[in-house]
Amino acid sequence: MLRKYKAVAVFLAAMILLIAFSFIVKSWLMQENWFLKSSSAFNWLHDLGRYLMATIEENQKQSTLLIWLFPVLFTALILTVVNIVTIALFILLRRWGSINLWRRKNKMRQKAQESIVEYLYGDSESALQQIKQLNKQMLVEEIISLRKQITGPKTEHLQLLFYQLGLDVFVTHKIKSARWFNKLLYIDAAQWMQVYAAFEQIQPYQYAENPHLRNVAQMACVNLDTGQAFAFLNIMDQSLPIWHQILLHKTMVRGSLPLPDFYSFLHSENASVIIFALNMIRLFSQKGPQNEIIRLVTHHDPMVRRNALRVVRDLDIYEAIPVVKQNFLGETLRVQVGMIQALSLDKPQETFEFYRNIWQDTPRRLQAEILKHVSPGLQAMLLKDMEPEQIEQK
Amino acid sequence: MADIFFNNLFLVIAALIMAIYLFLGIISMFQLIEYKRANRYTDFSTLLSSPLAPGVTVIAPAYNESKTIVNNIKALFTLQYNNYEIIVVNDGSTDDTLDKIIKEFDLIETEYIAYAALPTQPVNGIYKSRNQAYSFLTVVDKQNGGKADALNAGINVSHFPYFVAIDVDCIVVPDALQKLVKPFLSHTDNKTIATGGVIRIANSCKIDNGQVLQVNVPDEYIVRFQVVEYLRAFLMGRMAWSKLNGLLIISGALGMFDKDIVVQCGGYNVNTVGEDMELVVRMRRFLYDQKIKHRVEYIPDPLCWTEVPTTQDALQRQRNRWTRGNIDTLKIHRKLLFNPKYGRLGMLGYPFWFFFEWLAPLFEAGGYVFMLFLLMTSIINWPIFLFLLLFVYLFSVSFSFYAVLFDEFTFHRYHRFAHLRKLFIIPFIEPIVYHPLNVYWAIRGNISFLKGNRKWDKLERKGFSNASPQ
Repeated sequence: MLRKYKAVAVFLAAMILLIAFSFIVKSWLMQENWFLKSSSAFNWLHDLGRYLMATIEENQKQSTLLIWLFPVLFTALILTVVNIVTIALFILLRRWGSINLWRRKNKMRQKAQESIVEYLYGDSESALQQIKQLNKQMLVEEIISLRKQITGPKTEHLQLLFYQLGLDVFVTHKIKSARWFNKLLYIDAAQWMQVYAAFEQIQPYQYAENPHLRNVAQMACVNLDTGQAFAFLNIMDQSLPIWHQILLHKTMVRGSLPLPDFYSFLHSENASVIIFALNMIRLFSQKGPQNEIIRLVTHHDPMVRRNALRVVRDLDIYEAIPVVKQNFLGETLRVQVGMIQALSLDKPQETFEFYRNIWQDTPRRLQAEILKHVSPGLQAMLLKDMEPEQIEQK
Repeated sequence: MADIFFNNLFLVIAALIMAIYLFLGIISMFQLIEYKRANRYTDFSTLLSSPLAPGVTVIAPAYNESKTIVNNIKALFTLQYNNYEIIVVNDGSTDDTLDKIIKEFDLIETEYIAYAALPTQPVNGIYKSRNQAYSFLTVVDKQNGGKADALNAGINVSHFPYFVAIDVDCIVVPDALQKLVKPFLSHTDNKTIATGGVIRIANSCKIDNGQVLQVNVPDEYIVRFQVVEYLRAFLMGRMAWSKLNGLLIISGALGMFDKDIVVQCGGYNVNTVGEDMELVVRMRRFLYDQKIKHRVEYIPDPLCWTEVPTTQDALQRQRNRWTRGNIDTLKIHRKLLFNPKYGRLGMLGYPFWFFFEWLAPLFEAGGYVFMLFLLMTSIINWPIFLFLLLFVYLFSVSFSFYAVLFDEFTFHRYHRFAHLRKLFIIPFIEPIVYHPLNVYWAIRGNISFLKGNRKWDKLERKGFSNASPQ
């Protein structure tokens, strides 16, 4: 709750602090002799505040609102000046600091990279001794970064190095980090380096509320679970966005992972899971019971229907054509576009008859889509049926 | 009695404005932190090889851009995306813009299919290149109808489910499409209908082949003011409204939209000079009417670099147009004001825009008049007046400092100490010099609107080839 409304919480805290400070400032201003009077650094401020407060109170014409607000405004004024100075100093110091820190980090990274290359292509033993002295988090980042860029036998050497350095234990331990963005790094590292020991710890995050964490955990589990890699799809309540589907697909392709039977997910109550399964069936041309796909052409969710139609088209499921034609007229525009694409499987003469029957009641977008998907001969025949002004528009 | 009433009124409103800006600043800060953390390890280039990545159409209207059009189109070729097309719409240019494009890209007139039927001025022809290397380029030549009309013509012939509307003379960073499309793919519960990226100022930057090679803070004060203003507007204002899902505008210079929804809403409104804002409000209103959950998102990454006015006259005309566009949109959609049916749009976004973007300059001008009245009648209390003035001034300075800080912590584009020195001066001068001018231009915009001025007043640009590095 607090996490969700943290901005509100911070704002309210700031307001409360401001009011609390203003009470302190008010009592400070009301004292003619205050305890730091001997140190004159703030005397002028004290005097100025007292003068302004007295001016407001003495001036009968001033509103009571201003009298009441003055301590808050005076405090806010002080804090604003402090803020400006702090920000300016902070930026400047950060510049200095970050330049030095960047130099140091860069040097260390360079050293780490050189040692890793030395390990892979030169004297492994001496390189290993050098690498062991380096910071573990930086090593994880460097090794994973390199691993993402290379393929071939050297990836196994890199993995061996990872284990020799004990980074598998480090990564497994660090997954428990309280910060979700640190978890991301270490779960990703466990995935790339095949740290099977981390699987148990990663598994619960497949259902995390944080979508970034959930996604990286799902990818890791697909990689690390040798049995039921996609079991999470059966019990997942949250939806699986296209972005996550893209990353899961990439994980499967990259790791040449054995494909599960995606047809088994077509009965899921989660529409996004069905869409993912349909996408995977289509992209991997997975064969299975066609009636399962045909059933989804009339699914209640239009996104599922659209994706089912893509499978119909790409896997040449001719049996779906009658169902497509039967449901065409009652469909949404986007699904109808998918239907037209699927109907390109049909025999030209039958398609022509179908289109001619619906042509006059079809919106322009669909007519354009139809013309795009029929042969030039049929195109001419359909255009012949059109009203002259319609042809001009096209 | 009247002066006490006005004193209190100005005091309450000023305090309220400051509190709201502070709140927005806090939201922006959290939003920026979250974005940076979430995308620290995101590999956007995954979209380049994925068969699941949706297609995107880039629509660039062009009017009398003869001098720069070829280079501008070539710059668009540097965009990195696997499935996209570029549609350049020649909006009835009176110079040789079209001839230059035809010659450079070896175009021939071709038959075409209009996928949507948004009404536009007549199309003279559609051109495609004979060179296969430019197969993704389409040029639409049409009669002049303005930017909105040109965009509608581009939408009519676009193939893909998403389109990006850009100013052809802007420099779009190569991975902009990948970053803009991601929010459309990342949400399922809330449908993303439009995304925008941060616009940065390219004046004085070193540019070559459509790429920003070196970022510089301009020497001209009028441009520097705008640098800080853009930082504040994008990194603090729009980021916060994006988080609150109360955004009313996606900048016309760069924005990605769900084409189906745009077409269902009737496309861009050709009768307003604020077509970018009006479209977003109409799309949102349409989806609220349909009871469809949706969101409009802003990405803090600097995705687009643009040239801003360098003279007071040009800037005044730009601000005048912005004000007129703003009022026009607010007027068209006045039904939204405090209408709970329209959720955060009606209860937060629209009222903010109504009171803070439209009425605030008028109110401020009223404040100046009131101040003059107090001076003339000698009932001003100088110590209190100066105290309040100092307070407002310093608040404004600190707000700009926060914007610079946010940039420093996130994208860190002004990386030299000389840049900092230049940027640090601006917040102190801006409230005295630039802000009153802005108020004045806003009032003139209001007067122009009342007079029925609907002119676009195209900004004359120097062109990036003239931009010199420091």
